[in-house]
Amino acid sequence: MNIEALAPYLPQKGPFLLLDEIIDHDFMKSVVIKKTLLKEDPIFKNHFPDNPIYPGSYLIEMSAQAAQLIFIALEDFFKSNESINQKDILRGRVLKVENVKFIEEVKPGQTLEAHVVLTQFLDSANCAKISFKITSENRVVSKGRIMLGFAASGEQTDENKQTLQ
Amino acid sequence: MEITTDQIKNIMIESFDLDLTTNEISDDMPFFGGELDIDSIDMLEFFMKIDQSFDIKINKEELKEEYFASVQSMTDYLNTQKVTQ
Repeated sequence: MNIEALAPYLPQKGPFLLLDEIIDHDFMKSVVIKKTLLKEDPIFKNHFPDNPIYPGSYLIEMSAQAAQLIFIALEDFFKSNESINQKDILRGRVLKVENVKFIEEVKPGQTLEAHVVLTQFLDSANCAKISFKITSENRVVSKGRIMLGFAASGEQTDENKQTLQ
Repeated sequence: MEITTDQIKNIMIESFDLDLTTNEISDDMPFFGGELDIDSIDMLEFFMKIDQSFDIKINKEELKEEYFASVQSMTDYLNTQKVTQ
């Protein structure tokens, strides 16, 4: 499923929404997304002028953005064609990244898949852990783990709504 | 089976990324204000590992300052949670 229908509900906008397509989704379990890195993506102009490489920090961001989809009941959304209540989206932010590896350089034109799995969800403390693996043509280019924190239910402040940064 | 202070010390070492052994952590070592330089993310990590190890779901709202006074007081608190959950 294309991200377009969902994009209005996601906090990341424009070129900073690093997801093109949802390939697989299992609510509260896992998600796989796809992203093609266009040669004309402005990030490549400056990182680096002579040697365009997709920044490792963007790979972490892509995984965190994919992770937020795990917490949305997308199957219901696409089946019923109903709009998502903003309150139903569990907004999180990155608290910690662990054991992140950048195994291969990522270049313009490559198509990436981010495979993200929810490994732990501690509802009572409003936090979760995910593991991610980013592949390109079935080769792993990056992997790691991310801890996400959520606003406690019923107290989503504007600050908390800023979500995955 | 009661949770022991040594089990908690091992989880502290992992969660807080401490260069210490369990022998170097005393039962009366406080979580805050002592030689441990830990923050709120470290504490979340600690509670996630507690959940994994003992299946105790910590409720942030119910936490009291006194539980963090020492390794012993944290262990005592977790043992009460083990019974109630």
